[in-house]
Amino acid sequence: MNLPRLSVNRPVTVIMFYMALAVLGAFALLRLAIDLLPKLEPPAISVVTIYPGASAEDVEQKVTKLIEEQVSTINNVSKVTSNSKDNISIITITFNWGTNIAEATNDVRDAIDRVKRSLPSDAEEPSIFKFSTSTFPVMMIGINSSESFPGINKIIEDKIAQPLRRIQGVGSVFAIGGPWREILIKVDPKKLEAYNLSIPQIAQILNSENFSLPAGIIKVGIKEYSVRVPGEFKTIDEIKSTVIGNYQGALVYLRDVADVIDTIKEQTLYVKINNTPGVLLFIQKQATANTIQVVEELKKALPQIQKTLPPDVKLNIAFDSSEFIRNSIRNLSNAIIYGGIFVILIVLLFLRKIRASLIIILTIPFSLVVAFITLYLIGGTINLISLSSLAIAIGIVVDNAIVVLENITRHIERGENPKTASVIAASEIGLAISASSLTNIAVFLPLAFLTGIAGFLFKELGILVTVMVLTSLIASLTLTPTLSSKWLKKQERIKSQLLSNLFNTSEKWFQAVENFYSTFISWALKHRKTIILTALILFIGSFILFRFVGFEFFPASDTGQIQVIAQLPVGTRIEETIKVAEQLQKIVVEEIPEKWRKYIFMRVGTTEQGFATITGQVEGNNVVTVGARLVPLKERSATAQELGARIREKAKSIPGIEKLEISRGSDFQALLFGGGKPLSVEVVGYDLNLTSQVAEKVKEELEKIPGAKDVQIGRSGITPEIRIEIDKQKASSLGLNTAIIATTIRSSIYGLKATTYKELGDEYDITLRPDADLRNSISYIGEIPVRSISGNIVKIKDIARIYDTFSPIEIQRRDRQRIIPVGANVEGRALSDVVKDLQDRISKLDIPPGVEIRFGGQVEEQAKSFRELFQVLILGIILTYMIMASQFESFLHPFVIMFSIPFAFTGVVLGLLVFGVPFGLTASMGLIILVGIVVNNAIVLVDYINLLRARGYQLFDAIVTAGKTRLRPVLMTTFTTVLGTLPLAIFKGEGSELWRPLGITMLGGLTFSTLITLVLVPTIYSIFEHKKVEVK
Amino acid sequence: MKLVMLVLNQALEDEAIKIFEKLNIRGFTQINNVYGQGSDKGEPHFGTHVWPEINMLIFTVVPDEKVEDILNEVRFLNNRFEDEGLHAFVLNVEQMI
Repeated sequence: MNLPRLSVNRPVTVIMFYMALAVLGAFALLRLAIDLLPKLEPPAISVVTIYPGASAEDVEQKVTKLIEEQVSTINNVSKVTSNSKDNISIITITFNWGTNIAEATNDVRDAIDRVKRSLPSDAEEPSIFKFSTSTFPVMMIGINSSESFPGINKIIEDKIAQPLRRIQGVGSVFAIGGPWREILIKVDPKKLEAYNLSIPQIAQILNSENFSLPAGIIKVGIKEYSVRVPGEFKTIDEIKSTVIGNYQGALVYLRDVADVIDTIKEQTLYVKINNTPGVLLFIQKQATANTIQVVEELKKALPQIQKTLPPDVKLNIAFDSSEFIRNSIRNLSNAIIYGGIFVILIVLLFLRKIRASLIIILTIPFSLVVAFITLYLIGGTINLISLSSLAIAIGIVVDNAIVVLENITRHIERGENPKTASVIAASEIGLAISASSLTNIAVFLPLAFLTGIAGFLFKELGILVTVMVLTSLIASLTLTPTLSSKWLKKQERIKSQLLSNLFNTSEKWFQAVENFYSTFISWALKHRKTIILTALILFIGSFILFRFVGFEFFPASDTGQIQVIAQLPVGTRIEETIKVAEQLQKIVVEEIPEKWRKYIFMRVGTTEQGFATITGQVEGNNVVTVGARLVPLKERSATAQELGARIREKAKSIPGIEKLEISRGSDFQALLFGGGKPLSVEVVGYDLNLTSQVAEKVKEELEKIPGAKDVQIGRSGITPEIRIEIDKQKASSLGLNTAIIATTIRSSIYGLKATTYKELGDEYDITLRPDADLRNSISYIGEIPVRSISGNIVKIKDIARIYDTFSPIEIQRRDRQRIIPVGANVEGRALSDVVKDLQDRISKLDIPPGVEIRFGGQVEEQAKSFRELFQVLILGIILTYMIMASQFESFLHPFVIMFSIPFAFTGVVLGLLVFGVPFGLTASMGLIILVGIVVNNAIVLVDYINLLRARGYQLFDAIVTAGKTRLRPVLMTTFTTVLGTLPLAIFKGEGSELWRPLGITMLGGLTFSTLITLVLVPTIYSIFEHKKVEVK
Repeated sequence: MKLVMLVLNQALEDEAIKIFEKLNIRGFTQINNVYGQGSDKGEPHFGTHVWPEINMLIFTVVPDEKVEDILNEVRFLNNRFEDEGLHAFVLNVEQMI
């Protein structure tokens, strides 16, 4: 089948085919979802179990350990990490990349079913979340109110959180902060003692008094009456007047021993939004849900919700992860559009004919449209990677059309009629362009076989570019000849004088360049040693220069979010922490000018049952979080990183801060590696005393290494604790048991919920608790009275030993071993260098037996990714050689062509140095792509030299003539590719950290290697061919 | 009756067919994809990567008086495409069925 002939004879079919593609492409484009990166949400499942009242160690031994043992036997589990703290056990199971999350969830559910019976009876049922608890919320909403503030949590739960939870894709909604109403019975322990009463006793009486019972139905005459005994408290005064006992013949009322007040619960949490107290609503999406869609739905729901709220309740979006995604996608789309414009300009500049240029330019939209169709079929999204592949392809897809059009024009200039010329010229060149397209595909297709992080990132890119190159090949053999046969005229005369002058002048310029090049090549062929030596020096030099290029595995990005997390020593009172929080907020406010920030919030304290921990936040009475949402990068002159550094500097002046961390929200790194730190060292060992000492030492060493920032020991610190050890013999001789004593102590400190108070259909807790001033002293504990069965009052200090000690606040485990992580962010240096420094330092440390040090974080993933990318690079080179060898039917010529590859590396190094961008995952990706592209120029050149020699030219003449005649197409295809990716290299803005290295790699590598190829490849060719002639 | 055999670059097919139309010659036989080269000058037409051009043959049997018309047209065409190695050979037709 002859494609060009077929299509020239059936122009309408061809036009319809491409129109169909355009329609299908538009259809696909409208249905594609937008995301930041390809679907690489870590396949993780979290199991959260609440075990009320248990200490971290209890939770670890009785819950976490049991569940861990079961889940770690599941297929495809790559690691199991856990976090046991007071009241709560959080286990995160990470699966191998590509594991089906639905199947995995079922496996986890089965595993939990097996272990359920062995869990403590008072532990709640484990719940399964389809997200890693370390992922950032997709949205945070700040809620401020004035009059409604005391009842705000009720409003939030009923009118905001519930409707939001119903939105598809929303994983969970938690409200943090704000008051809860409580009827507090402030008992006076002294008076209780005097009247011979105890808190549990009063609770029991209140519970019996606050009682309603339907008593049945009686029939009188023709009517039925239902009988009720309503005893529920209707007013606070009624509670006060409850009789709770009898003392020396007189009734004792509750008001005699306690103050009953309608108040709000004692705050363990302090949240301020824009400097006024408020509530923060955290919204987490399900792992498989699309961020943009979820946020879109949430935003749509908010105005509706606002209508149902009292007018003083104001909702404000404090954090919105879709904003960064949208901005990044917009920036990249702009880069592609500019790339397209540059490509069009280059085509116009070289051809200087409108219709001919249009024929070439039309291949761009059709090739790109096929990318959208493919994306839709493989279930991909519009993201930074799929868009990057368009940006790379935009300059490549015109290459085939350029070569075909050039040949058609040549034929027409010889006098053939356009129709015949189009068919013949396209058929003639078909094989050659197929070969050069294949070399492109040879490097892109293997990318589709990558696994791990690199696989998730670059699979789409490999598939898309392959499809686009294939489409452009087909288009150049069908669309280009068809349009040429219709649009090109035999002798095109330029009518306008101005245009004709322009054409002639530029033609002179082109000829001058061609003449210069042929002179230069003649010189080079006579000075081969100089050329080879220069090339060698350049190549070796690039290795030396490479040492000055920074390294960053995956770029950090400016998401327009700053979170400053400061930790005071464990055990600090919340009141003290709030003071520090206010200071820290002041610094943030001062450092970020008002016009740069949209929003600021601050949070101190713990949530009930550790909700914040589930949503990937740090919490504790000693922890301060101050967050700010910034305006887009364009509207401010400092990056989030710079602002963070300034805040860090200022924050040093606040006394008492032990750890300070600045996080930038859900940037690329957070997406790829969960909230984990890039550099993470795990101190493994059972004895927490030993491991925390070692962790401390590692931290000290790490802090000395340049480039390591925010060095932090995992949250597994120890907290001061007071233990009351009951003398069981003494206690039982008095008729007491541990349960009675423990409950009494708990009710005297934590308080005791007696019953509930109903008002307007809502229920509020009635809690008995001694006054805070009284109970917050250590001597008070000893004085707590316990009422024995015989009715005697015994003091705690008489039956128990009270002492203070320390206990872990949190126990972290990984793969069923206790660990203490020491993590750090790395700025300004390659992670691998910092790791190497740290390894050196650690090897000098004295590590006690039973303690092991492991490197985690990005280190493992990095090593794996680079190993795979390197394999793909080698595979690409081998395939490229094979394709060229079959094209040339020669072992030698492809080898000569291969000499252009090393200089792509030189160009990459120079490019990165000039732009000051570090080498990383995307840059090494670009390097692989270059292998397939840079050989194209040399192929064109060597092919034509061979052709001329076969036509009887002498070696020297063949080289010089080939160089001169092929220079223009070589330059044209190179310029289109280089300028197509130029905007990638120079555009800045949200998300550019990801694609800039790619653009710079393409730009530097291709430019430099083309320059070298044009001189070095002919020179090497002449050396080898010369030898061959001599041997013969 | 004479047989006129045209050897021409396939790119000139349309031009050759036009000659026949112009001279009202209906009958002809065409053989595509033939290769060859000239005796002394011009590029070979081998249909290879080095010499990509391809020739074709057109035979037509016409009354003697039409031969000169054809040759005139071919000469004219040959002048237009000097490098294409256009040739016409005239043979006697002894019998025909």
